[in-house]
Amino acid sequence: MVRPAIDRFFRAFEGTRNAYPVAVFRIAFYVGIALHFFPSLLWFDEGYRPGALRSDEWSEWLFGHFWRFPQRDLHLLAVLTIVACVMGIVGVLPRVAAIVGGIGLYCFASFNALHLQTLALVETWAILLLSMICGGGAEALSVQALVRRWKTGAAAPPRESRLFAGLVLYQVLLAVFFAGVEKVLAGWPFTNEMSIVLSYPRGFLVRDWVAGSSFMHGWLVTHFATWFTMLVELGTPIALLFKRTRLVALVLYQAFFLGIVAMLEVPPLFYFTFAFGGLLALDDEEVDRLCARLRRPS
Amino acid sequence: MRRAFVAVWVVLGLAGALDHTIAERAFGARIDLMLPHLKYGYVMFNENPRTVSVFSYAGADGARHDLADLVATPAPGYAHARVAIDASFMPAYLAEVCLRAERATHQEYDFFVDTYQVDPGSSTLASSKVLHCSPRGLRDGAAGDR
Repeated sequence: MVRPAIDRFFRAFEGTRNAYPVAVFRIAFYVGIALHFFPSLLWFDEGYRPGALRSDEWSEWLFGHFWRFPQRDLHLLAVLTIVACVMGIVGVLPRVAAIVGGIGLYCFASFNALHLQTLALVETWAILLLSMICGGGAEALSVQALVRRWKTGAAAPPRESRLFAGLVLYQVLLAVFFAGVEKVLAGWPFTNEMSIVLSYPRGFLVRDWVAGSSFMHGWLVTHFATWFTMLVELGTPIALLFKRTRLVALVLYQAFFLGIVAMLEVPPLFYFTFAFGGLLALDDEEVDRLCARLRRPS
Repeated sequence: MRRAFVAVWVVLGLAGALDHTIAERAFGARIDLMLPHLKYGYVMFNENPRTVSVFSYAGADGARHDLADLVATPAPGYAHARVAIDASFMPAYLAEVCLRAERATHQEYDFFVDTYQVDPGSSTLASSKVLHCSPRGLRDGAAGDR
């Protein structure tokens, strides 16, 4: 009785699956990282010159010892980090990219977190750590896959280990679900909290069109936004796990994150991680159906 | 081996989430779980400030611009929010922006800090402060609380 249940649970992390959702997630994730970190690494002096104003959010040891690292070494680490992220985007040695990129990004975030909004990075560390341990993610839509196909002439649809994809999906849905739990504990069901968020003035968190729209500040819209947020955060992480509810849940989930990024000034990394992470819930049959629909002439 | 790793990762993720929701409320303290992704819990806009500040500046032309325009490091898609949050949580940040801008352009600026009271459905300007940015640093300008 217990044994089959345990086997069923672990099946999500064993064997292989269609490689395309993992590849799309890999590309989106590293593009998000590039948009988030590259400005700090390219405008290097703004954040990492000696004497720059810094904030300590990650490793206290690295923050405290920042001044001991020669600037030349930091420049080299920045270049290596950028190269590793580009390797992640194009799909070359994904485990090496995660190790080099992850160490570099964590060091720079620890040296100075001022330009790198802290909460956007929580999931980044988890996914990079998973990629370092599990590897994978470059069996499709990658330079590596292209070279392999060119050398071997293999025409079979690419497959990817379920381990990395399964744990990334777990990590993303766990964060979404507990963000909902935090909101319930913070009293969201009784405060219509979105009426505060959407009423922020121009220049603080909301996009200009939201600040300038009286419609978006109305009772009905803000109540809808509050309850929709809680519904999606508490409901879709569970509904995405069941085939019968998956597609509806995925549509709501994508609409939610698209709504966030359209209304609020959040880092693109946040959107790329969560929106594309949700696609990993699709099983092989659903991916095949989606691919067939995309290929079908309109 | 693989199953053990999955089990450990799943349990650690749950422990990290409960560390910031249940443990803090029940025991009044968090446990340091060491891993970076378990440090801050999973929080998205759960508590939102009712008093917020918006930062802008005026240069020689006298026209107001968003303070984010003075920050060299780009923040694609969230430049205004980043400056507002950084300046709200770290007041010394305004002096840093002033220092960098003054050194880069050799111009003096007026920085405006407009503080709003936010209520459901509306935000009202509660106070306004002017800071003068010059080679001597950032100092109180023609301050005037409304």
